[in-house]
Amino acid sequence: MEKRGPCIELEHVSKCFGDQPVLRDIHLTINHGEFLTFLGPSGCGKTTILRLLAGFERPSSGRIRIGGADVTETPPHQRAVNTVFQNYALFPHMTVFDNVAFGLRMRRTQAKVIEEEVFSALRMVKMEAHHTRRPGQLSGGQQQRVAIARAVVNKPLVLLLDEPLSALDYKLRKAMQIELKELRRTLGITFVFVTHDQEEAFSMSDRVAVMNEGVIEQLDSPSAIYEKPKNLFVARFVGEINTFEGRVVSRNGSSMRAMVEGEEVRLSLGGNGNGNGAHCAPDAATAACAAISAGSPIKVLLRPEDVRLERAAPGEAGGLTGRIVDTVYKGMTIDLIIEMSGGKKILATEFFNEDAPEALFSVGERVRVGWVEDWEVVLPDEGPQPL
Amino acid sequence: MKDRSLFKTLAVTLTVGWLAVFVIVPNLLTLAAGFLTRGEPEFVLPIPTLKNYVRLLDPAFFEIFLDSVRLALCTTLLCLLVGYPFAYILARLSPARRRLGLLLVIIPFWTNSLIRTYALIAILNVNGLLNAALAGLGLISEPVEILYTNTAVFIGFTYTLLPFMILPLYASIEKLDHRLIEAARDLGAGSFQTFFRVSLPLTLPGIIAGSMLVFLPALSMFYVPDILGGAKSLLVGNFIRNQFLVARDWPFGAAASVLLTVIMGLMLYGYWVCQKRVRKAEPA
Repeated sequence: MEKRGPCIELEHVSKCFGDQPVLRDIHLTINHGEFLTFLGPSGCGKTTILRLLAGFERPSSGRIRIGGADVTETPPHQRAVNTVFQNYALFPHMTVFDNVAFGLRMRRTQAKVIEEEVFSALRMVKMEAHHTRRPGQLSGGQQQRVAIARAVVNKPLVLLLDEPLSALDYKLRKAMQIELKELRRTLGITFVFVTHDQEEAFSMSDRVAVMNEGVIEQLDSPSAIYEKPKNLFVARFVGEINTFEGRVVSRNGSSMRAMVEGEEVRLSLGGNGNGNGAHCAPDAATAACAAISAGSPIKVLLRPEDVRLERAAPGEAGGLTGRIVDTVYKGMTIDLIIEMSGGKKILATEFFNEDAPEALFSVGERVRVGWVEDWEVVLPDEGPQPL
Repeated sequence: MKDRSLFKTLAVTLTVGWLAVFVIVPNLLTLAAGFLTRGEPEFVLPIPTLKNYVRLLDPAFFEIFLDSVRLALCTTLLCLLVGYPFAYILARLSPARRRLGLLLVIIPFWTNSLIRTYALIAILNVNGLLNAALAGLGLISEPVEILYTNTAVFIGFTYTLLPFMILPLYASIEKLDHRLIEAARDLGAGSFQTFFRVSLPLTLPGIIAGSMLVFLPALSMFYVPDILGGAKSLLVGNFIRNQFLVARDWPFGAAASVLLTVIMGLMLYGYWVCQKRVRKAEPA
């Protein structure tokens, strides 16, 4: 019943504004019914991709296909896509009804059909009671709903969403995220979402494309992006992460010994073993991983929640140790800031254990820093990085 | 604190005083004169009458009024047709070019418009630049008479008043959110439909403001028809001026003034109502 296969195909798409490259050789396929999010800092090119798909911009090179048809040269009003704009862009001089009916009227749909379709779209976003209002009389969340209804009423092949939730407050944003997910399920159309908020990207998407400076750094499921970042940029952009510098002493297959913070530790290249095989996926990262050998500089990445702490017995030597310099109460968790013996500061997140309050660490305590084997991520040192 | 309140009092008093002396009192005098009788040496005799207003019902005056309205409407329409595309292009230019464009629109204001109107004579003359240009293009074989016709007045009005159309139009087009145009395109509207359904309704306040600023002066400006129209065209402005300065019939001139003021007032009220409705539609 549902269409399968590629819905959007970007073939080696590049875009320059003047001599400023914004997108570099983007090659990507989005499947029918998929929820794909472009995630990245401002200026990474994610909005430009959306504008290319909508037809507001033309690529400097490369082809764009939507639903199998080449639309590279097709103007926006002839494309089977609709956009939910960042600031909604509702027509201020029209009522909610007229806003939603706009697209259908442009296609010369019969008045009776328009009325049915518009009310069904408004019902879906729970706005049918407000159909005579004007956008200026609605709250941000309500305008958001109207903007979504205005787009989906046209039954597009693809719904493009340009940071549609960024203007809403935290609670409303959470609620809208859930509603958008539900909407995708009922409509079954492809959603392409753009955001700089990783939590938003992770909670809604099937796949996330992390972008930086006009390239897709990693395209993967949210969990793979979080747990198996392909490079330092991805690792640092999504969530908190501790980075250690190290140097390989010896390597044996996927396990190795390396000097980290002045101590020799055992590391695993399998990385973040959540049960589905090696960290090094069959692509560019493989080559980089393969290049890791005795003597090569590496980065060891560790999520704060993966850090395991033990009280260090006085006088005990060996292993990575540090001293707790600050604790940050977060409600459900507590963040510990640890100064390593080498002076580096790292972050560890601990859950409260109600049954053993004595297990909580306090400022000044010396701790031994470890992690569950295989949960660390080892990357070759790519030299200095922004961010 | 005390200084500030003194400054406030002074500023308000000055403003109110200025308006009272130079706006309210003259208008009240005109209003009063309209209801009084004409006198020989002292212009106005304090004998109340409605005769002046009755005289305005004369079909001859009605014709003058109709001619004026027609000319003012044509001027407004031409200014709008020329001004809208101009303002649209201006608003879409790069900031540096936009500043230059605006400067070019404003520069004529540095010269008194009376002088500029005289300068138009040199262009509209039988031996003037316009005829030379038309002949040069082969459009005419003999010079056409433009000066001292209604066409000349029309050209003069359009030339003088065009900036008053362009500036408010520019202001409202520049404010127009480009994302709304993209939204219309995204929803399947071609450029034609986008313009008529989104751009035009949203720039309506500018269109109305510009039209008022052109139409109202075009109705009452008397020196342009005087200079360019010769004695042939009589418009409301000239008519009023003639009553005061030529016929020396102050009460009748005052009555005509009051009528014109009332009509303009009604138009401004209409504009205000329209503005209020548009503003209500804008997002809060």
